[in-house]
Amino acid sequence: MNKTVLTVTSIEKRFEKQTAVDKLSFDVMKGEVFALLGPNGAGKTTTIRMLLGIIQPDSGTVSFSLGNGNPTPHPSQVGYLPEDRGLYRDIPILKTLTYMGVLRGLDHKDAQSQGRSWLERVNLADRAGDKLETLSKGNQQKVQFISAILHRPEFAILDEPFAGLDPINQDFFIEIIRDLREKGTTILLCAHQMELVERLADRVLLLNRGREMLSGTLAQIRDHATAANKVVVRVRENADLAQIQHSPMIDQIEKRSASEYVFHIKRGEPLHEFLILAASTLEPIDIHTEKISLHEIFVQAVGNDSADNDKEQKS
Amino acid sequence: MSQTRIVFEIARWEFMRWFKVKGQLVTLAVAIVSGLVFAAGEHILEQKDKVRVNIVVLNQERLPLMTPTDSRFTLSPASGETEADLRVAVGRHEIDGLLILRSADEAELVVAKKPRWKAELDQMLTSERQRIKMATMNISTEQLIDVMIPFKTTVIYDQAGQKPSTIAERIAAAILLVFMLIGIFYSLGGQLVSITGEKQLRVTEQILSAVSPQQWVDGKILGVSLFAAVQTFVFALSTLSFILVMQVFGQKVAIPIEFSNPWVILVLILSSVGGFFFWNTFLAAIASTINDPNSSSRTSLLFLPLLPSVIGAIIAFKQPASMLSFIMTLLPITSPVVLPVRLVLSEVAWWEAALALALLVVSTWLMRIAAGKIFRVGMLMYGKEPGLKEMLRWLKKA
Repeated sequence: MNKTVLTVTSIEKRFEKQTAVDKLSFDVMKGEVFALLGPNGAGKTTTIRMLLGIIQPDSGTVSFSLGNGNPTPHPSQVGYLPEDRGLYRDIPILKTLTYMGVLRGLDHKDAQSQGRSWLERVNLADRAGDKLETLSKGNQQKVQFISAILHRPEFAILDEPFAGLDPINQDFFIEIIRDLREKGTTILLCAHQMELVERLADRVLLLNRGREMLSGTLAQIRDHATAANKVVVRVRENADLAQIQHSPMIDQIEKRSASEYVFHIKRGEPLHEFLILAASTLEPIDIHTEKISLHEIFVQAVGNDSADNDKEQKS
Repeated sequence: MSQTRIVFEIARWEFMRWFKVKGQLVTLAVAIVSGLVFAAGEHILEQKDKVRVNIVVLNQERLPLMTPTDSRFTLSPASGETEADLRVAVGRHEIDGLLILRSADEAELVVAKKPRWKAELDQMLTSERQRIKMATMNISTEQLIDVMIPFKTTVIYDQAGQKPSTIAERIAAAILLVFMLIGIFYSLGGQLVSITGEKQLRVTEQILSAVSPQQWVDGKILGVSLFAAVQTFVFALSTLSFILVMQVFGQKVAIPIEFSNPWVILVLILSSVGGFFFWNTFLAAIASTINDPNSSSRTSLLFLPLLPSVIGAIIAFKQPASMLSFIMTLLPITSPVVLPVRLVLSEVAWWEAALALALLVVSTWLMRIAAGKIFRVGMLMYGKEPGLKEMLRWLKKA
């Protein structure tokens, strides 16, 4: 997993006065699931469009290093599931899948056979001749997903693959993505469902306002978080927090219910000292620790960046 | 897969999206059945025209009519019946008509229903009257024919191209024009529904990640143009089937002599297919800038190729050998319509047709590149539709 298959160097894209992507650089390694995260308007889709050559960066370079050794990949080497997506609604599903496969370099027979085999896998084999519009939304998503990867790409870009899926289908797609990775497909993933990203991603890049906020493995990302630990303390109802709430060890207190509080402990503060303090001041009924979630890191990082931006603009 | 194969695959997809064998067969079958119905109708009417017509003549002494031997009329003098009795007989369909001679020059015809044979009867009565008058004036038939010969003037034009066209040629030219308009309409529908449909269904981004905008638009132009050409060919074949069925059943349908000339047929095919390609480059480019065909004001722009074509066709019809028609034969936007009309109604030099086709090919190639540039931006543009200025900027920028 140490061969770089995609190198993005200082790409920049402006639309009139708005900078959508601002000198962004990153690498993607062969066989990994690389998650590109960010709030709406962070520049994820623009970045993906530049990776695929749909639009060109104003400056910077995008270079692939896939099988053919060419920095611009052949369409057969890349699969793409766009966020803004759809397929032909009035055309039989297998016909559409075959067409998509052919556009990606498969011959008709192979594309048709791949389409059939994927439809079997997602339990839609008996609907191969039906029009897309006759399927449920979840099943339409499955067909859309198949259309992006049926040509066995080396590199797949999946933009919001879980959007609109129920938990069962989300799990189903996670399994498929894992399976693709096991078979050697490198995956660049964009998703808003942080808990799903945590289950899949090897590395994460967090974008905001077109710039990199955080990047690295999940462990490295957690190291960047302001708070190192979260301690969940259950107390009797309406317990008095006066003696603990101003402690310099605490970054933030979150009230989950009348009898449950979450204390975010600042990085570097010894956990045992907080536990002593909590035990002596709160008379806790239960105490346990929780990992800082990607969601929290995401919200925190984006919040800090937006606050910094506001300050910059005011000054 | 080669770049060219991708274009052909897209063209095949576009073509097959619209081409339905069943529809074509139905068109052909309708033409053949229509031909049969027309031929049968004509046959029935002809048979009716051969049925004998029995007419009783009252006051025959005023004009002693004799029924010619080759006539289907039987003119019998009234044998004692009164006018009222004979009128009743007409009402009961016992006789087909009662001819009451008021003088040697006029008569009244009493019938139960509108007589299809009235003109035929008039002609026979006129001839009979002439025969009787000639006999009384002592003029021979030959003398009368000689007197009646009209003065003959033959018009000879100084240029062969000014030759007058026959009705058959005019009808043929009009049919060719209709075929071309059918092709334009099919192209318009195909491009508009295909492109705006893909934009609305959000298929564009996934396809543009696999193929270049130029490949995609090339495939669309090729596929929809061929569909329009095949559709036009099926209509032409249906018309030909209709004519052949009519001819098989003995109906006289004139086909202009120009259609037996392989050169004319070749130029007709090349100019119509070339025209479809040319118009489709324009239609694809404009359609890519439309988000919703139901609400877009841009949709009316798609009808732009029709306007010069129709104007060109009218001028070519009226003055096929004029300088204006010549110029419009060379202009790619009008040549696919004007050239076929002139080929049928007038004389077109080989170099004129060859030059028109060459200009059509070159301009189609250039239009194709321009369409690719507009398509590249238009297909990814949602929301506000670009203005003409903006599209020109894309052309310059790309």
